[in-house]
Amino acid sequence: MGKPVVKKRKKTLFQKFEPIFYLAPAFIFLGIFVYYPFAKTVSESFFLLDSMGKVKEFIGLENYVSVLHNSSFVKAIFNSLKFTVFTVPFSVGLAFCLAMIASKKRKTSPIYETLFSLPMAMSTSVSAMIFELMFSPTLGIINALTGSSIKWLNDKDTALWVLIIIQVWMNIGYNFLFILSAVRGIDADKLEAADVEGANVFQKATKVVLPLVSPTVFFLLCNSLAKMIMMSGLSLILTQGGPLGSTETMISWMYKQASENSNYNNAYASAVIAFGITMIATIITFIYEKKGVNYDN
Amino acid sequence: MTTNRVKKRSKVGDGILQAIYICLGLTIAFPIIYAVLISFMEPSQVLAGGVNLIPKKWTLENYKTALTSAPLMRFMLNSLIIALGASVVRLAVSSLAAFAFAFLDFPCKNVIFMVMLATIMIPADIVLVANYRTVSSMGLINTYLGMMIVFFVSAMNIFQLRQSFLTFAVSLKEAAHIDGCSNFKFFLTILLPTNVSTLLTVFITAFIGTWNTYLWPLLVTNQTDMRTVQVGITMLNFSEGTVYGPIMAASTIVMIPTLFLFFTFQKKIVAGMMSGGVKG
Repeated sequence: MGKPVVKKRKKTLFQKFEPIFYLAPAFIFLGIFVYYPFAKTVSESFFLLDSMGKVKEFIGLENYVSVLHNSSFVKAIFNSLKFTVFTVPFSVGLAFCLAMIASKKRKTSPIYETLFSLPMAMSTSVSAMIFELMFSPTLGIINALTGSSIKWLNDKDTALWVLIIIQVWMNIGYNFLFILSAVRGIDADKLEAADVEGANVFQKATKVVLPLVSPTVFFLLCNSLAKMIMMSGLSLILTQGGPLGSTETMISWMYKQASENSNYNNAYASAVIAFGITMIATIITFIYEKKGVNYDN
Repeated sequence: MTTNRVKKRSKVGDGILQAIYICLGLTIAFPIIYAVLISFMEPSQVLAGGVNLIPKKWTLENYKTALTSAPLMRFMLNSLIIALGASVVRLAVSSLAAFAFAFLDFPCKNVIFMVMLATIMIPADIVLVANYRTVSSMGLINTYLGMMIVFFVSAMNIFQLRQSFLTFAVSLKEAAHIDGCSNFKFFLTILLPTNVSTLLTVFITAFIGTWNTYLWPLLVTNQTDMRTVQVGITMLNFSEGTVYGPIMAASTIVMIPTLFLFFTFQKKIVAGMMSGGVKG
């Protein structure tokens, strides 16, 4: 009688510790590369650091005051926000239009669905190199087609717009596939009811389909909002923040402070500010979600 | 008769519509097609500018230049090692944790799960500099391990795999235990083989994500021969004037692996997106 009880107790003791073996690898890496650096970034942003990253003394909010008085960083904040404000709605909106026209399955739909979603397989670097040639003032196809002589990436008024166009292009495929599967999931009766009531294509898209896929659209907005506020790759590859700081973003600025100037005071403070702005933007989207997103159907 | 005519008309209309959609698709894919076409052009034609898309004379000269004047193959190899290494480790780490969250009981399981999921809210760029400090203090600058170590875990992947594991019938697991199967043996010999589809999805998305990543490998490498292909391609230096042909050739070479994976596993990638998201 005693034996099985002992055996059972032994087993529970082992079972007690067993989950640790499965969870340990994940939490060790999360600890070293997510929790720890996050805590370090936030806490050390209140200290004076030397160029080796060593903590010198507590200085409170001084790093933040200094960063926010730096006109190049303030400009970077506005550039990041402008980039986000234009990239996110355009890439979701265009993807929605594409999903609307592709919603019905036809003989050739696999062909154009693949073509619509192709940009999502492209990396930032390769897209940047291709668009750099397309927007080249002398050799590029854009100026050749339009007959203009705009300097695009070399002009402070147009450079950020070029980056916005490239990013919208890169985002379309991913957003399209998401919205397409949501649109195809809609109850056919609801669409037919709209047809019976004589709704035109535009009314059908905005009054019937859009409310029904609003949870997906909301997910995409949240998802791309954070990514776009953090954009740095295109800027670092194509313009290095220029001309005249017109394409500097918060993260490209942070990157340069750390890698070129070894100024960790500025780097950590700007990282925390970028994180704060992302949080605020996400909260605003969530407030909007309560009003605009319809989960009932 | 009228219905017949309407049907016929709508059939023709549908055909025209499909043709328009394919043209629209080609417009969206145009930058990719453009890069490929330019890569086969002679330098003189590239330099002429204007709207000329079809190479007058198809040449492989640009590919030769791209492959000989830059260690492009070395860059590809570096990227391959990092993408493979990071994806394999991530798959192992994530599925172990997902198994614990799906099948094992332990105190504060929900809280721990939430703490794990909360990391999704922290963008990689925010911790970039602090991670650079950590990796450099470990002496991992210019090493493969340093380039891939930050990609070894993804809360999103753990979540995706847990969701997939949860669909496995608990009764089958209990039956396995009665047969004397330990948790680990169950995990390795029964659970993983029945979830190959999800594992493949996670692997492919992790591979594409790591292959395409730019900023982190840029930060932790400064030797040319340790650059990944995404970093290397932005630093190619060719003699002035002939520059774009070889760069488009290099771009074409670099996008082939991801485009190939995308075409082959399109359905799997879409399924993966719906259950979590491609991190790129």
